[in-house]
Amino acid sequence: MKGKQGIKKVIFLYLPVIAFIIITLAPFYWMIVTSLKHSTEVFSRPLTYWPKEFTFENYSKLFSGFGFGRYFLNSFFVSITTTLIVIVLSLISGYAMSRYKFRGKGFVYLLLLCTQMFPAVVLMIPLFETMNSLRLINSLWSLVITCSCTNLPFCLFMMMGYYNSIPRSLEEAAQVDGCSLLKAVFKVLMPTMLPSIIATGSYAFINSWNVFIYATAFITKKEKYPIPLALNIFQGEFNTDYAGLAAGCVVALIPVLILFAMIQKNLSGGATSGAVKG
Amino acid sequence: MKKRRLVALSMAVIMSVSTLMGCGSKDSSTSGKKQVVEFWYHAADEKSNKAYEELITKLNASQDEYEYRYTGFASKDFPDKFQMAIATKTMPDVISTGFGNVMTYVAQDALVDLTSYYEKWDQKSDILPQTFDSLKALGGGKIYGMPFNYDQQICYYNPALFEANGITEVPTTQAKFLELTEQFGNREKGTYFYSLRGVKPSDNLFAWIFTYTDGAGYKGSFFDENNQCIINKPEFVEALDVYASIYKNKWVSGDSVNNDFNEMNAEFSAGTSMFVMHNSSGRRSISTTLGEGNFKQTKPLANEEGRYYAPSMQPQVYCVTNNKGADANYDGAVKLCQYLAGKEAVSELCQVLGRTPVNTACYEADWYKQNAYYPLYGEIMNDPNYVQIQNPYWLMTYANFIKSDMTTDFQALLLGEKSAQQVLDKWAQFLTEEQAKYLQDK
Repeated sequence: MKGKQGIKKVIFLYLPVIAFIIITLAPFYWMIVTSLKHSTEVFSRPLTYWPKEFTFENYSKLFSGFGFGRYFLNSFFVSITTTLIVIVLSLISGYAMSRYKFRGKGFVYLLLLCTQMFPAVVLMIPLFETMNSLRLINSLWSLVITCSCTNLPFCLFMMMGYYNSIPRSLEEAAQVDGCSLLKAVFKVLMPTMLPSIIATGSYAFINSWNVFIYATAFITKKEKYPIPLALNIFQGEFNTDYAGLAAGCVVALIPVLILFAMIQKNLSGGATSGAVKG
Repeated sequence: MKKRRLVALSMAVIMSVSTLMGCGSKDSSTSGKKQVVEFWYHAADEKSNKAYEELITKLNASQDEYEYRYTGFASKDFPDKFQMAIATKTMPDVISTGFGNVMTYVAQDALVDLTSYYEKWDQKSDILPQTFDSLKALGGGKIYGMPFNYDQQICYYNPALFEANGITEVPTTQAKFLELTEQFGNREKGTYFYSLRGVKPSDNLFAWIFTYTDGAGYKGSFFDENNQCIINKPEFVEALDVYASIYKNKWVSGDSVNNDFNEMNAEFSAGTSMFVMHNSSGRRSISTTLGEGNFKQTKPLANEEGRYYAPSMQPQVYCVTNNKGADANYDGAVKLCQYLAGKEAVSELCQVLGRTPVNTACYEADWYKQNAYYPLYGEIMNDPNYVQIQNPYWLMTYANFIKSDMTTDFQALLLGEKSAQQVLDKWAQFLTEEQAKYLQDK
């Protein structure tokens, strides 16, 4: 009986999990291995699943000749600033949308929903004109503003869902005990919403870390490139430096991995906590 | 207390990073007394960026009138970026671009006619005459760009794989090529003689059908004496059928249908195939991935008469943008174009980027004479059996047509969704109509 259950467990649990892990990790494995190969080995036949000769040249080239450190800082600045702006604004506006009834609330809701329906390409020219007249072309603030605006509606919806899942009586009780409304929100609601804030922040962070389309429009100066734009330089007209590109992708992935490692616990709860109104 | 610290710390980090980044944008069209001239390069990578930055620094140090500024874009980003600049009237002063895109930009009134500047240029006589002819034909008599390098259509092969497979003679004719493609195409083993290009196939495809038909007697022209496109004649249909049969008979990889240059090169460099057709500018990439000395070049495949057809001289060019109006002074921008198309700059760039110069003054330099690959291009250029295909890039829509429609139709043909006759009828009709519009406007 026990043996039968053991086999069942292997077939229906361990094997699918192992298959899932292999499928998920294979591209990452390949990317890392490619980044540690010489360019000529990338295409050598038979294919090598482990570098014949390890090289860190692709990584050192990134930071010496290619100036990746600068691009890294640029992306970091855009992502962190956007995340903070989005969290603060979605916290406040999410509360308003969740707790207050006001004239035109349905229209505002619809308007926010509509903003999610435009593809980035449609918005590029008007946004470029706006940024140009604000003299923000080739400034990282153009990306911060755009990323904040494009991420805000969805984050607001997320935050609104979280507020909806928290009983109103919680902040009312705090107010009965003498808290002002703001104090009740920040002292009582926020701690309970921490996982949700982290989930919202992660969404904004990752979206702005990967910003590409708007960056191609607003940024022309190399020293202002965020990482996704810089990675494109590896793809020339008639040549692609696959090993260098792989090294760049590995480095670009590190902050996202660290972020996920740090917030993983909160994320799984936070992302779904507002999904069902209690 | 902890939260306050956290907030304070976050703010401090943002402020310091922001200060370090220099987030503000301070751009002006003049820098001190100097007039600023912006230059956008269309196919930047690490090497070209370095080479151009050095050249621009030299140019800035050599004169006080203009301040030249360089920006390099990845080739995939450039078209969108420049389109945006045209739409928002924020074009730079000078751009580089491929031959095929010139008329697309002219149609948008984005480029200045450089004919008068070209005529006065002291290095004009050094430019390959074929280049000059191509540019003039392209612009309907006007010249819109200063040429700096060109791509010669050639074939690459892997001598080690040839030897391992007992191939003693490099194929020079289409017939021999077909024989080898059939003999060594093995989908079970995943090894092939040839890598076919399914995405943007125009250069290989037209080289094949024009060579196969010997141009149907029209010397590389797409049009007959009545300006009717000839490429749907029965002999062209047969030629295209033969070319598509390479895929249909499974003599090349199943993925070929989605092969662009990078994928084609990946197959070649991985040893999946041992023969590819491409242009001379692909050499640097093959050299990086396969290793210098592991490949050789040969002339394009010939027909039974020994003649071979390949795209005409299609140089990359530096263009001056129409960002100030027709009557404005473009001297600063033209000076930059002439400097970059001049002997010194072209020498430096072609050495670094592995391109083929059109400035013949470079041909006497040691770096050119000692290069193992250039003699073949010179030989082709002077070969009486080489016939240039006159791609109708003067049609404003042609560049987009070969990028999108042609890819879709050719893929449909390979997958058996369309016949060669249907495909060529569609292309011929389109080109005939566009030619008629062009002639009418002219």
